[in-house]
Amino acid sequence: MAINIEEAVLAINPDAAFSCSPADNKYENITWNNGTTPISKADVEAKLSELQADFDAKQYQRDRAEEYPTWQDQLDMQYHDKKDGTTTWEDAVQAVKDAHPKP
Amino acid sequence: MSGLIGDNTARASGVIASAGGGTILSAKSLAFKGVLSNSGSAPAQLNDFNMSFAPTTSDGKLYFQACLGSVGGSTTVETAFYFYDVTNTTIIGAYADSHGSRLRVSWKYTVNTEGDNGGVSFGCWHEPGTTSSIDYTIFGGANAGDTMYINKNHYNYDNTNIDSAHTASTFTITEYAADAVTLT
Repeated sequence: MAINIEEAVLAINPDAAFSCSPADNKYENITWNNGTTPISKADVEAKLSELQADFDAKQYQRDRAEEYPTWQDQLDMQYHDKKDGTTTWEDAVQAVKDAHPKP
Repeated sequence: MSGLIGDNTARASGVIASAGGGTILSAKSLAFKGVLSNSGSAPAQLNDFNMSFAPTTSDGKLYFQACLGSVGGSTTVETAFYFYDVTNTTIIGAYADSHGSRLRVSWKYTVNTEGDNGGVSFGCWHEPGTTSSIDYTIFGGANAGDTMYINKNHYNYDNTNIDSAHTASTFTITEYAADAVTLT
């Protein structure tokens, strides 16, 4: 997913009032409203790159979140592990982490 | 179709040109097929909906209709809208009475998630009392720190899923004869 330019502007100035038309992530399409001090193109693009890099770096977290067993299943695994002396839960979690390692 | 067969035949043939109707004097509509966003603490002018309108009669009653194909948000976002007379710098149509420091708008719509966007329609009546051309538009916006999108959602994925579809929006002004409309 691409970070929107609106997110970059608001990350710099959460109170910024502005419009984008067309809203296609181009700095040139920003209109600053209600006396908002314009933020430079360089600053917006730098923040956009920073947010995108941060988002991309956390892809492994989103991938893991999709593949972890449900909370109900994990609790059931832990119950049986405790009762039977197995490592089902630990193995299941580790398998997902191994499939999507942290960069 | 209802009424006497003779009447309907006559209507169809144009003999009874205004039977049961004849109250629409003129209309104008624009379609916005692009995408826009607005961020800020108060509704702002959505320039893509700027449209001038000159009534044919000074007592004509105008119905404003906005059909926004979809409204999206950067997260769970509260959006608000109203129609605006740019020429006379005033909100038009019904909007909230003054209550403390609260924003006074006509319509609100809640976007539930970043991937969510739904169609929003709203309308109002207005009596400009002139035949002069007036510039109208739509104001819309979200809370401070949030972003509202028109015709797309926040994620804006480039795929063929319906939830990623871009939409079109329209803004229509219809002038009705004064004696055909009662406003209270």
